[in-house]
Amino acid sequence: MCLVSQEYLAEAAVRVRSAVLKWHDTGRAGEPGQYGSRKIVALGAAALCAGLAIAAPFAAPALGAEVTLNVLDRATEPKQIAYIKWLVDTFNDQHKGAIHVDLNTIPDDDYHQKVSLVLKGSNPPDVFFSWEGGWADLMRRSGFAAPLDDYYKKYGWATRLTPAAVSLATLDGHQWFVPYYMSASVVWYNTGIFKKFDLQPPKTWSELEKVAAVLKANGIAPFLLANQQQWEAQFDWTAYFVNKNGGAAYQALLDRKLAWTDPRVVEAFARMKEMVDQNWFLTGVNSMDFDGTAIIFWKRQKAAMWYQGSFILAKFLGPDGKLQYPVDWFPYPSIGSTPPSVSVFAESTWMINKASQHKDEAAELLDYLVSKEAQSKMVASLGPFPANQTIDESGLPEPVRRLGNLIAHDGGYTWMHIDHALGPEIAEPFLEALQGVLAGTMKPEAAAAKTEQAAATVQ
Amino acid sequence: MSEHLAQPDLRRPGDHPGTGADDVTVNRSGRSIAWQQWRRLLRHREVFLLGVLLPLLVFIFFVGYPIVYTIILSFSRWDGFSNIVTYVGLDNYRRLIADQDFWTALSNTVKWTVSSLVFTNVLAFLLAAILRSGYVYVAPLIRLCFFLPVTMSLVAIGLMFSFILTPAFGAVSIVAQVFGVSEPDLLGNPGLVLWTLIGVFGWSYIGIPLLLFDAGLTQIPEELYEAARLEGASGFQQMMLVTLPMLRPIFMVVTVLGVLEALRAFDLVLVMTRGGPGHASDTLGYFMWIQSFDERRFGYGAAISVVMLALSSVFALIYIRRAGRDALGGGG
Repeated sequence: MCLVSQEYLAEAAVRVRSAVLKWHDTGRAGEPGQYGSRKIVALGAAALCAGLAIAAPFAAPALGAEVTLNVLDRATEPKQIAYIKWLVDTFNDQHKGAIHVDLNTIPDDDYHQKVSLVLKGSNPPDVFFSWEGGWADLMRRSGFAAPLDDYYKKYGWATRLTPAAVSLATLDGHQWFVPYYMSASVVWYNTGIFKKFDLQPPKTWSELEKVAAVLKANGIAPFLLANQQQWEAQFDWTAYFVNKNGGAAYQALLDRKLAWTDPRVVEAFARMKEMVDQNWFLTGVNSMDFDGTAIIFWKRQKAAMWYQGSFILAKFLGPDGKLQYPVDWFPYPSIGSTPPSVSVFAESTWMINKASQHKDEAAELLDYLVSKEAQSKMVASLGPFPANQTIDESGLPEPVRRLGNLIAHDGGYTWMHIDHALGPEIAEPFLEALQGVLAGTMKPEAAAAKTEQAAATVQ
Repeated sequence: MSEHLAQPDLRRPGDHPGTGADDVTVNRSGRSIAWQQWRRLLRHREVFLLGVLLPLLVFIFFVGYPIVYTIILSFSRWDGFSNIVTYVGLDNYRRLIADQDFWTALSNTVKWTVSSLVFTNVLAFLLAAILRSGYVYVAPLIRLCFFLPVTMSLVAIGLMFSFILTPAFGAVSIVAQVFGVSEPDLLGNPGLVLWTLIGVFGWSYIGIPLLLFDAGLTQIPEELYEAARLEGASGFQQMMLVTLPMLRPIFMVVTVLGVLEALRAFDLVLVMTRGGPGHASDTLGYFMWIQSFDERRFGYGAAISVVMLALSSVFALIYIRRAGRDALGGGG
């Protein structure tokens, strides 16, 4: 491999050509019978130029010429797209002449479907977006993810990132991705409604039932559930299951040590249906769209509580970073003797492609992604919560700051909702079955059996 | 029609003078007309290359290969990510037969196809007839209004109707409240959701059959109606004995188009219900997409595609045979 840059090679070729021509002109020019030597030399020099030009791209990186990194991200909302664009532009400015990032995005709804085509294509990305949990594991098993253990050590990510972020990035004893946008699922509630009816955030299930009774008696749905896209109801399902049966039982379910037909699983399905039948949710849970219409119901105070991930703050926070509605949060109430726990999860993570020729440069980009500068900008422009635990969140509204503090310093047991924890082969049938239960087209037992069947197929 | 009349003459001015005579000889010796045509075609290389070989290659690459690949894939298991594609024989088809969700999707597709055909064809015919009757003053404007949804993307239509049908503040809900009726959850009720989607599909599609019927009506000679009237035929009899028989080819076209369109029903399901609640509004197209791209069972999804291909082919064959017969003047 040549160890010179493209510019140097081109310049050298020109010099060689002029030197040869000069020599030719002074010495043997015009002599007959010399195979038209001027032409031959000129052609030779041109061939040399062409050869060098072809070789140059392969030679370029060796001498520190600019490396181009292809990055593939998912596009969720305008704020997120603007932030990622800022991130890439800033990184490019700071690494001019060394690393240049080319950013490509796929809309969130299409990412599942298209990413496999892109990763298997002729020009796969060096860095790409991944969900955590089951999806990340699928990427790892399919051979797309590069292990990042060395980079975690080199850049000190294990101490810079929140304990939950590091724990989530670890699969099978190795780190596979860098989370940069964290989330936690809690019960968001309308403080105005609670104040009006003199209600306190419930800490136990029985307290929650009392709150729900008061709200229903006053024509307000206790909870908002917008399950048209099928992923939403799993938040309530998993929260109920974990807080009722404990994290160990949930982990056993995910690890296939507990069957999906277990009575505890069936009971969680049945409880969800019971909540629908007892009007804990607004009418039309399965036709309400999370992205579109749900917030209108919240704004009109049709429901008092909403169990959701903190990414919902994008709907609650105004452009000035202040809460647009009277909102606070509390952890999902404990059920029985099981201590309550909050699901802390990574909403967005980046992986390095195992096939990338520029892993070191890609790691440099990931390091910038979770740097203080980039994460502070993310908090200011996109919203909480960063994976970097050193970011100052004092400018955020108090309830948000309080949740940020929980995410940053919660070193305890954390868990993911089903569609993050498991691969799509099990998660999708589960989501369909849960929606069927809520609609009354499927019995809880049948929903459990269907999920078990899907899980068995994967095994 | 004589076979000789049906043959295109591919001879050029500079061709071998004896070509015609040879043809007769070959014909007499028992060679088929198709063989003669083939030989003639081979003699005209540019026609063969550009007119036959190139389209054939394009067809093989863009249509034939995907179909063959899908059929092969339907006998395998593949998650779309790994390089391991496992041959599983007829497993996917066996699973298909035992899969209740598949039968729900198939049944929904049949319901969708039949009811949207009845809805759009009958309504479109009646509308076209009324608008051509001369009693409607702003007929072109009304025709335009019915055709406008055809120009809209189904995704946009789906989003628009999602808002219209939203309980509590959608237009339908507001109208229901005015009349003191309880808010209908048309997209969340498993018993209503499919019919709601069919209605929206009909609304978005009716412009096409309406336009075709309208064009067909203008082609019926007025003399036929005059003759019918002279014979004392009533308006209803004119419709049954003149209009409908004369529009038979149009009915054929709109039926096949409607069937193919219904078999491909996907966009509205994706945008408005995602097949839910449960599987209440799954159609074959959507079910195939979910299995392949969401649940990452590409082999199983391919098997569903093969079933869809078989169903589409039956209707396409009927249409081609019928269209061929009509072109030859065979009529019914």
